[in-house]
Amino acid sequence: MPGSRSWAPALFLSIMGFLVVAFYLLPLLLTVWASFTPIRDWRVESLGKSVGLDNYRRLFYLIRHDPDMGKVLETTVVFVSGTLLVNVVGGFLLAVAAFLLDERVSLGFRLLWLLPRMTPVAVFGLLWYYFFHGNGMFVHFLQALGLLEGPTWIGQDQRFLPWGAWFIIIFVNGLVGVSYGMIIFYSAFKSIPRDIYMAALVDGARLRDIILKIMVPLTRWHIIFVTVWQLLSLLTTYAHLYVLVEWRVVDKWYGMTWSLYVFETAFGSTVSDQALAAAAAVILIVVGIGLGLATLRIMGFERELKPVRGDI
Amino acid sequence: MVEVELRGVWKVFGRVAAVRDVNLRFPDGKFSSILGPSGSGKSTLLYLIAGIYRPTRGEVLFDGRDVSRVPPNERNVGLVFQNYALYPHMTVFDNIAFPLRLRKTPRGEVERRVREVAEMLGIGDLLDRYPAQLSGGQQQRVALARALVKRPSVLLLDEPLSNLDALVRLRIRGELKRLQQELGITAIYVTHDQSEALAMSDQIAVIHRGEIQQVGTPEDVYEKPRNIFVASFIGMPPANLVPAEVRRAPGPCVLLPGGGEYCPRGGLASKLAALGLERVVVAFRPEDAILAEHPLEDYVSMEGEVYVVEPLGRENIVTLSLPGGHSVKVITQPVVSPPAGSRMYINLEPSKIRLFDPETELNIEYLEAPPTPQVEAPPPRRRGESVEEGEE
Amino acid sequence: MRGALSLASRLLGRRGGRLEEAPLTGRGFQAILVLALLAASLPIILSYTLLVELSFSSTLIMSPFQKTQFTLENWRLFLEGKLAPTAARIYSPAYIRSMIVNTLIVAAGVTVVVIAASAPAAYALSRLRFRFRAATLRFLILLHAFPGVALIIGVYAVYVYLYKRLFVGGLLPKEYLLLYSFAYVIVARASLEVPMSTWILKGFFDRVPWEVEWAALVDGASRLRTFWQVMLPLIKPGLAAVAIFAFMAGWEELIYVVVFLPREAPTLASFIHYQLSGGSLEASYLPVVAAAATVYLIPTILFFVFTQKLLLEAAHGGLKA
Ligand SMILES: Nc1ncnc2c1ncn2[C@@H]1O[C@H](COP(=O)(O)OP(=O)(O)OP(=O)(O)O)[C@@H](O)[C@H]1O
Ligand SMILES: [Mg+2]
Repeated sequence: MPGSRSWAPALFLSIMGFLVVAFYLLPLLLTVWASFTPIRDWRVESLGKSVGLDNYRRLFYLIRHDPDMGKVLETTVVFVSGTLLVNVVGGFLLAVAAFLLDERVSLGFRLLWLLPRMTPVAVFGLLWYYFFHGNGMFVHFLQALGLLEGPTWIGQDQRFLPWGAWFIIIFVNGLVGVSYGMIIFYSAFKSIPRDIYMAALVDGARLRDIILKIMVPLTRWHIIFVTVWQLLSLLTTYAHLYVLVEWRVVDKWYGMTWSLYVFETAFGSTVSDQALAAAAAVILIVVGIGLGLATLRIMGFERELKPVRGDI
Repeated sequence: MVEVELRGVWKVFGRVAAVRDVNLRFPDGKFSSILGPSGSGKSTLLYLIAGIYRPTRGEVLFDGRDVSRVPPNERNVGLVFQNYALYPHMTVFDNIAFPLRLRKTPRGEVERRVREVAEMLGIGDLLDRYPAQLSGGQQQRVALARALVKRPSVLLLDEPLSNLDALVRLRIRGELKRLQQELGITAIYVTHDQSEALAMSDQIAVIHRGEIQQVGTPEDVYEKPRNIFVASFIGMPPANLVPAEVRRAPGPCVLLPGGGEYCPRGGLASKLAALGLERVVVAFRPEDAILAEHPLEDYVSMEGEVYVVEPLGRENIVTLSLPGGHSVKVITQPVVSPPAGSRMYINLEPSKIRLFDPETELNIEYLEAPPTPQVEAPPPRRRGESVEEGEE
Repeated sequence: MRGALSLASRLLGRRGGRLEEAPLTGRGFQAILVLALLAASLPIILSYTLLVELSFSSTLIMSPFQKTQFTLENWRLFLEGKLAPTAARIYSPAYIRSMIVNTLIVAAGVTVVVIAASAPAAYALSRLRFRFRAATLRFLILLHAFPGVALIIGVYAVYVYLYKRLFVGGLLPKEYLLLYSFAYVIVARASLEVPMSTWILKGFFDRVPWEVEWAALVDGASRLRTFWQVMLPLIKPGLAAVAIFAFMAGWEELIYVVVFLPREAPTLASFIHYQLSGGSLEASYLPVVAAAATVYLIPTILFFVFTQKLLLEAAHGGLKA
């Protein structure tokens, strides 16, 4: 009976279906396809030709011999792991603080920390452009501490590379991503029955025990979920990195992760090598699908799947 | 109006059979009830008639026409849901007008018919309100008006009174019955409340675990329960059930715990004899027993020990325990209030006693006796017994 | 121990879920927490303050504590279109207006497309029985998680291909090029929001009692009408949430706008980007850019003021904890 009879599902799903086909499936196929063709400078006619695995060979050659490519890989690892740590641990700590605070104060802080996520990329980039400007607040602060003299672009200055650039990209993306963990953990804490905290207190638990022995274990699925999801997001986002690099806040190569590399290779002002970019993107796709499937398992998908009732 | 009939209807959800092999006829223009405990499949049955569910097996007939595959919007049924399911974003007027507007009824006629049915149900002055601004009883009337306004051929009601307080429930109960009679509509009323079913219905179908237990008039169901379930489900408090032994000779007699002895007469006696049961379940209603300090003449009497007395104002409910540990309830006059621990006699008029086969749980009156055997032949086999076990 | 005590009092104060009733005991611990949080929040607070302050400042200040004079000059310059006095190009007020309008067009367009695609799909996924329902739901999560950068290459290739067919091939006159770009960027950007929006709306549909829908169907309504007249009005809060998120996504979009829209039709995002990219700060007038950025922030702030709760709940995304 299911699926055989009615036009209704097809009708209701049609617009979404069209968009999914036109803007996910077709582009996905095209990207994979392009990685086997010699397309450059958006000459789409070249999509008809094949170069076999050439683009992959080029990519691996670059990985082995191009020092800039080495920087991209290094940056990707440091950026993803560093920001992930900030997002998960920071998000957890923020959530604990918000949970313990008086509701009105807590609400204020939660909204404040949500602000970066909601701020347009261009504005957010501008904020940190000022902040990490050669003469900006951050440099003033370091100068006041006597750590630095004169105007310095932390993210560009050879003396501070690569960590100056890495610090900035982790800082900026950490601020954007940390609220995700905060919100999920916060509501997870709220959904733990109060009796459990009470029992622990009666048993003489201190705040640290409550955090480590109750809040962490009881929210471990949330922690895993946030970790995997954020890992996926960090591997694939590039908008904030893009402005930081383009606006010269950070060094070009020590500010560039794998996904930004894909973007710059395809759309950059200097290179326009879509074939190579596509090959690099395919690797990202494989990782993305793997992590996506992992997330599905963790989020308890079946729970969300409410059965359809009635036979109409 | 139509006559609704279910033929061999099953509804299976995954592994749960919510409705099993139901054969039922709801007569045209009559008020029929489906009575059963929670989870027995009442709503499922009603939704099968409305077309919300399609039978897994069997068919639903309206005036003899198979409508099993007809979608609900083409069946012309009125349905009142247990939780009313009013459209929260529409005013009362729009709620009631909704079915008419869907049928492209002219505007003037919509107006007229909505007002007409609203007046009939006494909600004429609520038409501008939203459902959230109404009391439960008012919402119930709006739901009823919405079901009636389209002049349905069947009116289906799913526990429409269960969310109302006792007084409102009593009043609406009367109004509903009157309305049904005035309109001469076929009504199918689902309830778990036996008093509603008994008071309103022309026909009651008792359902349990998806199976129809008994179909009949309120009197039938009350006086002649077809099986132990019906006996124990109907009545307030329900009938007392006491297991007892049967003595075969000379005539078959039931030996009750607590000393009584009941020897049925006539047809029942021969049925009992023919069935050859060794044990039966005796059922009697708490209001049919008379509590006294002595056995009464012409009554069947059991001796029991008073366990507790619950005074209910107009009457008392006395719980006694019988030898063998069974407890029974008896309704008495408020003045009868024996102290706990005292011994009393429970006196039963023989005609009020019902006997059930403990195995099939069926009322013996409804059992078909096997063909009467030759004189002095070995005792007849009981139903369900295999041939080999027949000789002992 | 004080921490634990104040925790206890917080919890006791929460009986019945009335959060506001938390007693004031454990103030000391709360104060320490607040101070710690404030310290951590300092960069956020300072930099947002600086941005707004800069837009009202007569000189280029680099920290909010620097002395400066209040002025509306930057705003005047911005609104008159004098965006980059040293740049060769002369801007006009009309240019500013069109910039804001462009941003609005993209944001509104994305909202419309997202709602039009995800509301019916969410209804079907919540209420209709069809063969690949579970698979579709699972697939949507995967799509949401999909690396956007891998898609944009293919999306742009289609854009170029269609452009060549339509405009180079001469099917459409060149005047329609801008329209084409806008339409394409809107639909392409909206598509990225559709999977998650569909999921969120599905959750809202799930919460509408089945009986209400059945009532409509028994009353004689078709599925389409039930969807339109009964179900959609009942999930208005969900529609509002999804619409707001879609609007914000379109409003803030930078990458797609830079990639697909010509430089002559900037949005606020691409305007700021063009001012700063290539480290061209010295060529532009930063306080005026700050004024533009402040304007750009206004919807975000409004959104914050009016929809706090919605925001905190809906920002969960997929996981309803
Ligand atoms: N869609 C469904 N999927 C699975 N099982 C169901 C479904 N609907 C009903 N059931 C099961 O079928 C049985 C009958 O349910 P139904 O709702 O018809 O009972 P009911 O008699 O109306 O009960 P109540 O008085 O509580 O409303 C129950 O055991 C119920 O759990
Ligand atoms: Mg029910």
